[in-house]
Amino acid sequence: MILELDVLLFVILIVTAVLALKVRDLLAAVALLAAYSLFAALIFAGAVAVDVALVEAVLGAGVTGVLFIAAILTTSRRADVVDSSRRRWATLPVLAAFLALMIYASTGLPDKGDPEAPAHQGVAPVYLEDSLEDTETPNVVTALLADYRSQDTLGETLVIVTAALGAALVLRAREQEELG
Amino acid sequence: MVELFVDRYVYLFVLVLLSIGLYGMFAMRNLAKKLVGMTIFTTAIYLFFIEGSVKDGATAPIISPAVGVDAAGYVDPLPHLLILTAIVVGVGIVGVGLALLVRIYQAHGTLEENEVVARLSGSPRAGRRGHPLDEPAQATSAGEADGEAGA
Repeated sequence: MILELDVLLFVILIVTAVLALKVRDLLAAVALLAAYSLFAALIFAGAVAVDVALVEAVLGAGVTGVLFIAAILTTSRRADVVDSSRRRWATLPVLAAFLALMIYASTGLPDKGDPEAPAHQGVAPVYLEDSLEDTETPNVVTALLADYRSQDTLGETLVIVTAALGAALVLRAREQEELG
Repeated sequence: MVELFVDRYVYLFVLVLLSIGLYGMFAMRNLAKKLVGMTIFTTAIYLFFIEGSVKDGATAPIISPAVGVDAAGYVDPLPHLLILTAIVVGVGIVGVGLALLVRIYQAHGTLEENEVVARLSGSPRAGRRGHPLDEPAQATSAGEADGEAGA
């Protein structure tokens, strides 16, 4: 990926994230959040994670935005108090400690794009070299998703069913209450 | 210094985004804003994983005759799969969170955390926003009457 473009996209991400938390109109916040997800999808595309970029653009920017808009239109559009100054001063030391700890931890991580990074040494080369022969699918991510790790995907669908059930039950409880 | 930045800038930016998301979850009073902060946080984690899958001089993990089956020619596909799953699950989490949000608004007429807390603790200042459900005595008695009529 082109370095300057990557840095520019990250700066845009930070700006949209801060604005999404700062604006008082919740619909504007959701629009900024969708923009944030789309720019994240651009970074994914730049890092040649094409499948992830597509899914992030559709689900992260699209479906999440639609869900947020539906919820905000049935509730309240304005965020009265953006944040409380007392809690802001209580939060900042926690964040500073978090940031310091994570920066210290990140010094042990490999450099960007290092082909010798430990994460690339384990099972990933096996997938890359064997998947065409094993599954006859050129797209290795598809082969992983639907073949090597299909039970992961089954568990994921279970999670989604549980989430849908939970949301439906929570909203149904309201309707019953309204009906008496 | 420039080399250090080129090697490590992803971690720096991702950590800043994580902090922004955490700030949104901790310091915002509005519950919808807390969910926005959570989405920022999770997307930052996706960025961390995907940038970790990059290899210099490697292309997308789709086996092509031009590159062959040499693992060094393709980026790591495993983070891609993990993050695909995480994005889908993340949408599920946001959906449940928003359903709870709608439910809280129906019960309390507000999305501001401090007002919900004040109402739950029975403070007299609560209910000043004038939502139709804000008259608990009438609403419950009407609901009970309906329920008895239905039974």
